[in-house]
Amino acid sequence: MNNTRTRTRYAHAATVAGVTVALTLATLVPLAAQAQPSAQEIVRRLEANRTYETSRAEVTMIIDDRFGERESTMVSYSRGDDEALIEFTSAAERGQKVLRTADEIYLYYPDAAELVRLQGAALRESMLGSDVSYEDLTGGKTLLDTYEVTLDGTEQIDGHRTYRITMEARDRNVAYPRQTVWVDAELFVARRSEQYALSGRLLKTAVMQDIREIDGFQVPMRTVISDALKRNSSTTIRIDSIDIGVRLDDTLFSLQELSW
Amino acid sequence: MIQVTDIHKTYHSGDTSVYALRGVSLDIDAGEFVAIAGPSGSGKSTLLNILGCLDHPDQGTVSVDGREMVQLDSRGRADYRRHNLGFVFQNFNLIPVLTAFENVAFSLNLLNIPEQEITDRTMAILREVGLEGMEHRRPSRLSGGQQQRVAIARALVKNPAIILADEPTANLDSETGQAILETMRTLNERHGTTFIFSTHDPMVMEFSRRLVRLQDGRVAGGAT
Amino acid sequence: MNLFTIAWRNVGRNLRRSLLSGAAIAVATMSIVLLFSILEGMKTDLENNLIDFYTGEVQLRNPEYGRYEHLNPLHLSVSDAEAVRSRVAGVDGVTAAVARLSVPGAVFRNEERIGLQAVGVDFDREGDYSAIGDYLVAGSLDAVTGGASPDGTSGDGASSSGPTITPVLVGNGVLDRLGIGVGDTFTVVVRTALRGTNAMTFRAVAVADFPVPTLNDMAFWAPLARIQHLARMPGQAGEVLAKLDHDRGAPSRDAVMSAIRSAEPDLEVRHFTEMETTYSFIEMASTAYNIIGLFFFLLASTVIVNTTMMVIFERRREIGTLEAMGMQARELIRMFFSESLIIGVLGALAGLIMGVGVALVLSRVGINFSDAMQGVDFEISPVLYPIVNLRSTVVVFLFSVVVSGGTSYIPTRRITRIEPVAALREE
Repeated sequence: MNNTRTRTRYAHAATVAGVTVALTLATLVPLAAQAQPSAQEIVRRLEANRTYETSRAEVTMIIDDRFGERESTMVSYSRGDDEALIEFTSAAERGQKVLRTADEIYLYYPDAAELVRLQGAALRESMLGSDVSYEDLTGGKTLLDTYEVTLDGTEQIDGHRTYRITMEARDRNVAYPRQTVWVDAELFVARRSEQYALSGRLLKTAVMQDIREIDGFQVPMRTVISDALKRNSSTTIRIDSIDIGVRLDDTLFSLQELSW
Repeated sequence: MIQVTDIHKTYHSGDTSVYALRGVSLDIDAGEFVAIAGPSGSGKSTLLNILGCLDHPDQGTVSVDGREMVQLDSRGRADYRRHNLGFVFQNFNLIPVLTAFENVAFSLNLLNIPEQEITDRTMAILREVGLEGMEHRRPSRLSGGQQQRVAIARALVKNPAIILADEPTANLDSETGQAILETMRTLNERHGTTFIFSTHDPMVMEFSRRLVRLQDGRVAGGAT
Repeated sequence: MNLFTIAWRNVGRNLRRSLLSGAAIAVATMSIVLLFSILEGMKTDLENNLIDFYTGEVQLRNPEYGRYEHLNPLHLSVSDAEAVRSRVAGVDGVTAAVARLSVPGAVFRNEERIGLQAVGVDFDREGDYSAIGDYLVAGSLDAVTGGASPDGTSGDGASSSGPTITPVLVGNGVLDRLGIGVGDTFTVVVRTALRGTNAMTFRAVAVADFPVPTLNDMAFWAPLARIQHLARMPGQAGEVLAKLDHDRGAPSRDAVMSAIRSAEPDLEVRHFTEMETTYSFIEMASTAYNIIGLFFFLLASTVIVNTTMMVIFERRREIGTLEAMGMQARELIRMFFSESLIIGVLGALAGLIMGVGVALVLSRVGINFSDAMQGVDFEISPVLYPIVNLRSTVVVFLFSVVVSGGTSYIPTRRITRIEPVAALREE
């Protein structure tokens, strides 16, 4: 008499269990698909994270070489990925400005009577003797336009899971024919990057630290760059303050801004 | 004055041995005019070289006025030749870059004789051999006979005890050769110098007052 | 009649052969005399260039500079340069002293980066020191020292109180490299002593033909104060250079060096001969050239040796005759050796006269090494003027005689092996 009821109860429990498992599985599968984005997707999100419509930042650049440490301070403005203006505020460089447009850099020096325009190979000059070159400042093309990107897997950097992306330049005519970027898997901001020459020789290393969310963007407040070709040399770029999406004067990124 | 006692000389050339002299003994007095005659290979040149201290025998002795020549070293022999011997060669062997006068005077230069004496003696001997007036000519400008006279003068100018002449007329015509021989005989008579010739020339043999014949390295016959 | 006279006459016996032997020695001697004259000219030229444009005769600089020299460490400078210069100039035995600041920089034109060297100098003092005025081919030093002018060009919007354009003296090649002419401007970017960057605009108002091609292509001279401002080095210099008195009665070099070191104990003080420059390289090379000279003579001497051997062989009968006459072996050796010595001496003399003659002619017209020196960065002028040095010429002559004589002595020893009997048998 009780055997029938017991069988029904067990059947019911099994059904509930089965449905739960099925539902869970159903949820998990799309989640698994979402946890491994494509290399292109990762890079797109990386770039989105660092392309600001406008920004204004106060930056300190600390250059450390065999002769000791030196600081330069500057105010940096940017609009999109193409335009930037840097005004130096430290005493040694006071009044000097760097204007970046898509493919050119203009240098303004108060002691010179004309602007210095850097193009092409001249862009590889080091800025202020640091490990950062002017070319590092240029933008214009997106990474996806310039490089073939591949996802190599994941790695832990400072306790954070990152995607390791290898980038091979489509055109040999770039400063860094090969790059490897470790992109934070959650924040989609670069934690580390390495730049190589065509021969495979390491040229530069950058480590991004103190990543904070500011106005919806993940911003590394501290970046340490080392030029692998120079001994005992590194440059730290410290963002002291940054406003993203600020209102900027239209004429700020014009040559007129560089006048005396 | 010259005593040659049982000299032997052998030349070796590879495996071949040539017995140039086989026990030659000979005495030559001072002032003699001797010809050593023999066919080619008889050993006459070898004997002359040994007498001239240009070579030394393998065996035997040579003494001049009681002095042993064989025991002298090369320096001693050179010294002896310088002071006591004169040579006259078949090919004259004058020094081409020197004049007749200088060729003759050279013998005296080697004896460190004062300049004036050299000049006087040289001119005197050149006169004696009939070459006065030719003293400034180099050998290339002298005839064979004249060159031989210069050679004779060169040999004689130092008043040597002995003059050794190796086939002195071989390169001269008979008339000149005869004249040379007459000159040498005259000088021999005048100076009392011993003249020893090696020759195979009958004319020379006739001129000599004594003939020593060599055959196969031995003396054949005696003095004439 | 002595052996030497016979030897002398024997030289003329086979004149062609004697001339050939002598010619070998003459060629060797002439070549070495010329070589040494060129070397002497090179050394003198190098010395002048180094002293006037590079290291000075005595150089004073920051003691740390040398260690990092390859990094152009401007901050390792001479502080209070004018005071240092003045003290050095006051040392007994110093005839002139200048302060200079040399800063590497670049002009950016289109995609090209054109490297230049900005040299800050005191033009008033440079007249005594380097006689820079003698090298001018265009413009004048007055135009340079007349003073920097404010830029009145409206194109870039400068006003009379705007940045100044500094008049400078440029090397002949700089204008070509920049593609500009006299009167045109160019802007140079440099690293400063603070290890930042700066730039300044210059106007080429005078052109110099520097003796060294690298200077011509790279250097421009500007007033010291302007370069100090450019490099953020007020009152400082990279080096102080001095020239010493070489007149008779002047203090010795060591004494002057000692005095300068006492006056400036905090600075590195070096005489240019103590530095690793092309000069020290050429000094080292001089030793090598002496050895080369020796080999040259030995080589030429093989001709005389061969001739002597032939002569002895050919005159065996004569040797035999002379031995028969009582000549000693050593006298014979002396006679034959005299023959080869005469040839050697005459050959050396002829070579000497020819070598000196050619060197004297070249000392006026010069030898153009421009093509050979393409791409080579020595502080040597492309046109060299040989200098005939009496002492080294005499040494070369004696060297030649000794080597040719010495080597020809060896075959004469063969005479001792000649047996008169065998020699007399020779045809």
